[in-house]
Amino acid sequence: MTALLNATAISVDGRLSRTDLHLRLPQMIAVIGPNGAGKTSFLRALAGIEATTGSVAIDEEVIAHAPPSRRMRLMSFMPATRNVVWPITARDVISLGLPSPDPARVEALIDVLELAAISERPVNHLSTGERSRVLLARALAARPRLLLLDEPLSNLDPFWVLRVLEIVRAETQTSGSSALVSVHDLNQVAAFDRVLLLDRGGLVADGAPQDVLNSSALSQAFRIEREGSGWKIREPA
Amino acid sequence: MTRAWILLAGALIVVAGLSLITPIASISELRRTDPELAWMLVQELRLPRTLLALGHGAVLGMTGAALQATFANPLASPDITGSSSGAALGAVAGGYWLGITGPLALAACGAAGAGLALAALFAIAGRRSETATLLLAGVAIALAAGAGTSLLLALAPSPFAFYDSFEWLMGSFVDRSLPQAAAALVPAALACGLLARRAKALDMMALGDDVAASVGFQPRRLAMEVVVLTAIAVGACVSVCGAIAFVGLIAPYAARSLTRGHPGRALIPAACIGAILLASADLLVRLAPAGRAIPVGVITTAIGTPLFIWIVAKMRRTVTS
Repeated sequence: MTALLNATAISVDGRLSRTDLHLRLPQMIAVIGPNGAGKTSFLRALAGIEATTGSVAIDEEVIAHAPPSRRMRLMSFMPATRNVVWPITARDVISLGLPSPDPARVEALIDVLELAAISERPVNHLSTGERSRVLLARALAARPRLLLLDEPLSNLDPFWVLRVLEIVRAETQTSGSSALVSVHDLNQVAAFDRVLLLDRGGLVADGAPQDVLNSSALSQAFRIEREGSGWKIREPA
Repeated sequence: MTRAWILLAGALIVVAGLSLITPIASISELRRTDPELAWMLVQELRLPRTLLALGHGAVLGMTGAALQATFANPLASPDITGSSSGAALGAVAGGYWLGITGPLALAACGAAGAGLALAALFAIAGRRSETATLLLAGVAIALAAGAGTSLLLALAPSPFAFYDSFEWLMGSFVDRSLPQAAAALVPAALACGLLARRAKALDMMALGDDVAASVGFQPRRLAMEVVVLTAIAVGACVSVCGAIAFVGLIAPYAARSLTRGHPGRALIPAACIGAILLASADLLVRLAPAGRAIPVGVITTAIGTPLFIWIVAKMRRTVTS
């Protein structure tokens, strides 16, 4: 069986030490870690944005060698910033995620993310939460093999937090793709198949959600510990 | 969009035609007395003038659109980034101090000046700077280049330098030869052709550097390419027909309303609109009383200043609301 993702020895100077990641099965993976742990650097390195070393291959195709139209089918990256300077309509922003025009796909995404009412409005005039949904739709548009979503759940209301997780799950299932999603809220982690815990620019734990949530690595990285069904600040040792 | 294209093409043809035959009186007069001279007048005087007005306008429109997309700012343009002033400084330095007379070599001097101005802008403001920083840096560079140009002219070996250049610096297409037009327009056309090929990448940059890079475009390299190509196109045109303000600001602004806000797709419409604007301004200039020359830049500035103020006011509203 060919590997969906083979990332070997990717690193970012000063922010991410050499890290490997291999995916075989389509999975929804949460990337967690305290502020500054390197979550964004990790996702950006996988997206081929600023990795200083290493190589990333999706379906055994090295992304650095793929032309833009091909690369959009292999992988998409949704950055944590929601800024768009230009007054482009929401519908057109979604289309920018497609290597060739596909109005039916855009329409389907507008439908599933409930964007019909705002689809003709300039995206720089939308609320941050609305913009998040438009930018997520842009990232999903080309049905890429690997979704890299940096904090897609921030700025969303509770309904949309759950709904976006559902939508990403459905997308990965229908197209057999994988998603790496950085998440801040540990309560959402249970919705994922696998969790990667980053701390100080390195991968410190990798496993099923319950295992990672109960690990000492997590309590060390976040400086918190379990208390009943919630969390409390860890007593200094 | 198709209707807009037809309108743009129609307007281009009308303006170009008018530019060739206006004022009609001298041509019809000559056609009666000396038809060959009438033909020469059109070919030797009106044709280079028309080509330069259209070409310089197109360059300002397209480079303005490219700079705005690159700096992610609707106010970046060849004049406001100081590149036009830098090109003028380069051309004056080359023409009056280095004794360069070949139009192509002068165009290279202009390109070098424009390139230095843009490099200075990058160094001072950076690419994703606040609007205020970008504008202040651009103004500082334009003022410094303007003062440098004046100083070079004041101290120039030729006592007529200041007088010669008055008409040229604010923009004029009068009495340029076809070889001069070629020296400005051939490098400019090559640079603009290469810029137009970056339209898709510049559209993707609207979603931010990271998204563009994740798709495989290289934002930093793209920015460098835009700067170098802009410097070549603007420098070559300014060295022949002077620095002309505001066309590079207005044309992309209007063009984006035809491309639903997409900054990259606006490149070619911006070139068309710039050409129409500048050739129209050059037609207006011909209404001046006989023996008096009005620089084209006066017209474009008169039209452009209110628009500039309007954009700034609108931006302030979106930032504060």
